[in-house]
Amino acid sequence: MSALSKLHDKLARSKQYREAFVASVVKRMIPTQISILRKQHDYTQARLAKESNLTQGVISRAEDPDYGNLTVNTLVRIAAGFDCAFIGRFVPFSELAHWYANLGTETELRVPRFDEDLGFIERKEPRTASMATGGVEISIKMEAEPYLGFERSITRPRPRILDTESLGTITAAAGGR
Amino acid sequence: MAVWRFMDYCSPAGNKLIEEWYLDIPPEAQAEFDVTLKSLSIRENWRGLSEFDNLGRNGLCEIRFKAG
Repeated sequence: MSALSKLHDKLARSKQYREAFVASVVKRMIPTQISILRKQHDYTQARLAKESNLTQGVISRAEDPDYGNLTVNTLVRIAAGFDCAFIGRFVPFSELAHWYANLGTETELRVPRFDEDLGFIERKEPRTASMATGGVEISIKMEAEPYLGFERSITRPRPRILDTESLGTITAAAGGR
Repeated sequence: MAVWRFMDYCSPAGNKLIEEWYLDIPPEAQAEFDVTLKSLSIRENWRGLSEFDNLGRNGLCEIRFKAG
């Protein structure tokens, strides 16, 4: 039985467990990630406090998995201290379960600083190429395809031409007008 | 693949003592226990973590978590 199936069975057993599981993941995994990021950046708690414009006491509590009372404002400040993003959003249990079951090493919780973020190099905005020929505008459709970035569970858009054969036909037709 | 894998203790009589204890605690405590093990399973070094302490004899250690 896979880790995902086992987790599904536990989540399906009771709403009480589901609620507690979400609370535990938020309460324990965020402090775990803060601690991992601090070591990744080779920061002391004092240095992170300075970068985040918080006190060292707040950082210490933020890394305590038993504290359980972190505010969104503190998390946003800490993200600023690491020069990375923080997103809090509501998701289906399946999304949480896939992420949780696939999480294997602390390396997967590391996040690059903005100036080391290679995601922007790979990522280009999806676009539509168009050309006007004799008053007729021809559009070439582009679509997004998934690719592996820093986090293996994340998919990001990457443009590519859908059908190059059609493109040739359209160009030839346009040229023939 | 996690860095650490946790196994249950099976007594000579065949009882899985940790599983029996686990099934007997409330769902909130089960969730805390599950997530505590998960967070430890991905960490390479447990030194200094509040969830773990080495009891210093015969390799005996304890895993700590608060629930409720």
